[in-house]
Amino acid sequence: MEIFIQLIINGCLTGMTYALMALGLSIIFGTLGLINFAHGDFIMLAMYGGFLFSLCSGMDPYWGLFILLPVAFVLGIAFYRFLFKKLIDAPEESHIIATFGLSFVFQYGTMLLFSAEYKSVSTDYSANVFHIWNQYIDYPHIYGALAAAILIASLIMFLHYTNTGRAIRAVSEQRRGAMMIGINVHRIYMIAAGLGLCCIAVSGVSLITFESVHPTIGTHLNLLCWIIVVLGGIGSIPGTIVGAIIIAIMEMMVGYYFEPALTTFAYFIMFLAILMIRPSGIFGVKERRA
Amino acid sequence: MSTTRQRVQSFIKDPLVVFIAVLGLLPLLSSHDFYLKMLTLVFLFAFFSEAWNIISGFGKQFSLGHVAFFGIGAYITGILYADYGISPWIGLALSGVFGVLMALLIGFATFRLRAFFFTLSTIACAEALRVLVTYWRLGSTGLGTTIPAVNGVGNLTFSHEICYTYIAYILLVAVVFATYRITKSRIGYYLLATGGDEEAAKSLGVNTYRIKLVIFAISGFFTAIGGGFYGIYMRYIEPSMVFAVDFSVQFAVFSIVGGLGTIAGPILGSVILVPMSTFFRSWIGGLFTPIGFLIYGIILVIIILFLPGGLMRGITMVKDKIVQKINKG
Repeated sequence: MEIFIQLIINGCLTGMTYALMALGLSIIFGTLGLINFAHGDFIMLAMYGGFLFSLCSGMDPYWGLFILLPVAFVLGIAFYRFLFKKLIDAPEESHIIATFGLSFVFQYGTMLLFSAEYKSVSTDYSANVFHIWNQYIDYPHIYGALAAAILIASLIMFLHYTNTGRAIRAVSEQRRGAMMIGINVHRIYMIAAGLGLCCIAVSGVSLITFESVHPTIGTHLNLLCWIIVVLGGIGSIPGTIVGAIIIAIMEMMVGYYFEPALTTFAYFIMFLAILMIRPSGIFGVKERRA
Repeated sequence: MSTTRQRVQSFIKDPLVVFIAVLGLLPLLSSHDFYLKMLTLVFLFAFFSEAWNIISGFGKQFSLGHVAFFGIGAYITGILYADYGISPWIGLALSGVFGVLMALLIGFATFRLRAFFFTLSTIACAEALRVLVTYWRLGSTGLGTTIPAVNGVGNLTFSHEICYTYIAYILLVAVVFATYRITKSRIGYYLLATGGDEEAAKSLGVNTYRIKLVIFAISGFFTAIGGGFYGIYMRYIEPSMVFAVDFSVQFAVFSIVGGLGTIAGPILGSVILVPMSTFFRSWIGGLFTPIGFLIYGIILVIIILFLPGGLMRGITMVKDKIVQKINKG
């Protein structure tokens, strides 16, 4: 029973980091309508960013966010200007192929630069555990969950209480209507792409403190994010958080009670099950039948 | 009604037929092993790309996990032969059956939803199978399966490379013929309508769901059989090799470069790109092997942004311009 509780606690903490990853995808997909199959590889790049920072400076990867966040925002804008902008008006198939090509460029580019080896970061608190009611929780997961919680909270505040945030929600709900009331849609798209990459930057840095990175990890992360978003319901922030926690707990359970190697298989079964039983997700309202 | 003679005449004059016939003569040019091996790969990849193109090019349902079929074929054929001594021919037939079953499973879950759910679940399926097979086969030894080489037609093993080259060629011709028949049949027109505008096709009474299922099953069938042959041909199979994402991408890249939704496109793409990637692997090789795939990624993005019709579209454009000039002059 104690192990069971431990798994649930760990699942919730990891789930917060997953939620942040998936939120980045959700923002870009919800606002720009871009189907981004390179999302996992963006996270992989952020993980390498955190790794490089702590390698060069010897400091905790979280400090690297002071550099990585602005870089991510600018990169988001640049990607919007040079790639996403052209894709948005193209048919969905083009999004899929072009972003998949992008993911390939990232994967093999990093392989060329860093080789295919696993890289990880060790911090002063890597081995420390927090002991409470017979439960042992390690600090990297706690900090990761905290960082995710702070970012998600500020994101929700931003989306609900600032004009730009409201404009983002308006555009994601109805692009034409937003244009009609005088919202500069392209500016909103740029900001949304930047914000999406910021979520990715924070989640990548959190991930690198407790997981090692390699160039092809993106395929796995991409799948993970999409499954979370589909499970939670596209466009719903609470749905994404709940979906992420469910997936993380499932991952822990499968890893502990069955076989760690088979978690990807469990995702796939889960994904097919969601699509067959409730394709609009837990919190989804939109009709998504073709 | 055209007579048989007229039909034969128009068949011979078809540029596609000429193109494929010329390809069929290429293996006779040289008996050099390296040359024949490369041709085998060109034919095989043209075959896979063509099979991919049926569902993804004509039907616009992008599968980026087609390697799942490929791997399942390679494993069924390979394991049956290596562990149980069952003839690869039976293995190939079984691979085809399993390819169809898997296509039906994925299609059943996703073809009623938006197109990208399909893409996503094909990727998920390929990844899931990769970890499952890794767990199943590599758990204890960490090694792949070596396929014994005993010459004989029953074992699908030959001492001359040219036999493999022609088997690959026959596979290619078979899939081209199937694609041709599909595009000329009622189901092919339904498929094109579905790919063009699914809602409109539906409103005209096309059962798009069933069409997509049937076509995906056909595509999976061919890919699985090809995968089985590939495993026997390579003599060694390993999950990270036969379930690698790289293959799915290659199938897509060859079709997209050549021209999506055309019969000649995938062949053209592989004729150009397979020798190129062989070059990257064997001459530059070593540390720079990733460059080949890096270039594939860049090609994908560039073609989608600037020449969505691929090379075939380019050829048609040039041809139209020449015809225009002739008509003017």
